Amino acid sequence: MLDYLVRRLLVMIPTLIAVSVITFIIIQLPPGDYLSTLIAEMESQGENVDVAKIAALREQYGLDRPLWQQYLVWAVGMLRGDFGYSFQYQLPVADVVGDRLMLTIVLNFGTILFIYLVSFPIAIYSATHQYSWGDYGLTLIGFIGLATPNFLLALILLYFTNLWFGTSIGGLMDPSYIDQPWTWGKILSVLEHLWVPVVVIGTSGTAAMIRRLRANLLDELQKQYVVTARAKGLPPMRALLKYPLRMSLNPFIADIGNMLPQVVSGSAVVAMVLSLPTTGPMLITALQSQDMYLAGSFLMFLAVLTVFGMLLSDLALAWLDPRIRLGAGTGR
Amino acid sequence: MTTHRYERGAIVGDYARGGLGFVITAGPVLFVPMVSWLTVMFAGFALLFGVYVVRTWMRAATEIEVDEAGIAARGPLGKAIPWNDLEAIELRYFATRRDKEGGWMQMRLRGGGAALAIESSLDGFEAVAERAAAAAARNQLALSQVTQENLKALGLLGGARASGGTASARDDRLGLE
Repeated sequence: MLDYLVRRLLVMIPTLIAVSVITFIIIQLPPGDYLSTLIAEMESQGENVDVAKIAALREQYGLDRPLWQQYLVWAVGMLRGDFGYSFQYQLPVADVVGDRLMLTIVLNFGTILFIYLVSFPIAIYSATHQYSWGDYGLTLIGFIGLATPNFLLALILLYFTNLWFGTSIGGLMDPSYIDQPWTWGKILSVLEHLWVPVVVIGTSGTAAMIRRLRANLLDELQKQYVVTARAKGLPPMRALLKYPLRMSLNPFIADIGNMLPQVVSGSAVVAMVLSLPTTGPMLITALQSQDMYLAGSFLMFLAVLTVFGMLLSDLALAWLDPRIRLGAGTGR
Repeated sequence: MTTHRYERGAIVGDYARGGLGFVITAGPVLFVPMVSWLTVMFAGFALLFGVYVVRTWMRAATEIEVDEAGIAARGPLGKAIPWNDLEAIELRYFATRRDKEGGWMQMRLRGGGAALAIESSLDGFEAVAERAAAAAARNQLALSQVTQENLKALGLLGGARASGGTASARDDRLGLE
């Protein structure tokens, strides 16, 4: 396993470097920079542009340097915890992001937990009770979950939570707690508001996961070793949990890597509909206004999540199922 | 008795991997003032690569001896397992590629109070695995499904019975004895 970990880490390091270079190139691709956009905006509003001041700002922010120097300053700065300066907010990126990053992590961790907790038992029930009324009913709910647009579900849930529980519309906490220090009251308010976006974002993921796990478990349950185990009188639960379930978990685990960035980026639209103080809406405005360091930091955050998610899922898969695949050979 | 050593190419490759990883992860710790959690993470990775280099050195200095009586590792932390005392065998396959091509195998043997891990970069690995599988069959060891499938892939489906199986499964052996 040490060999595997070392080789996997050695794949991950150049990947992260390449991703940071590509991210930097992407945020530099649109013509001009933030100051060019600012000048165009000021001119369109008929304001005078002080050329000397703009040149001074360009020098101050390092925008007059060659691209590779700008990249190195940004990349090394991230290692130091300095993610650059947000031109739009006139603040360091770390200060602009503030609690948003943590709230995003809490929201997305809650969503992933929701997806697993709901899809796991439903998929097992559906597979072990194939073509029963319960299976059909849960499959129907799954398809509805897949087919319902997230923003629509968000609006419906917002309306009913306000009607039934009196929860304030939008946001991840009661307005009275915004920009206040963290207290138990604020945490409880976040928890009270959290379940709506978690359900909204998690519904489609849950439905997809149920379909996949059900299909995989059905495949495993029809294999000869399961039939043999049952014929030999192994208790049904043990015959289910010992190998078939474990084998059908592979796609579950393999999905961890993909799920993290999908959930984060997929939550951006929902975050705008629900007015959530997460990173999604901020990323969109940062990209629109060419706030390069803010946008770049968000994109790197997504990339790091993807790469680490993939690492975790690959390690778990290697530990759980170190089987050779027929047709693949040993390389050394 | 046959003697096996790890292939020179594989050892050089492992040194290169460990050294490169150590330089990439220890370098920033030494020369770039980072935030504390990143420093801890990079230092952890550097330690991991350091351990890997030390293990590669130990592997390069190790010879595996196999005979009718058992298997022994001669070198640093040498140990021996008589075939009659073999209690467990595990054969695992790892690959970093998504299509699982170009991977490597690791065989772990346990018995007589000792444990031995051998990788497929060992010269004559299949012959060693064949001996181990035969010993597992003789000792009627329960093999995990993973080990059985990997033995099958090597063409060494041993007569050892599967977990929860019966001794009659020994008849399944394919040309090992």
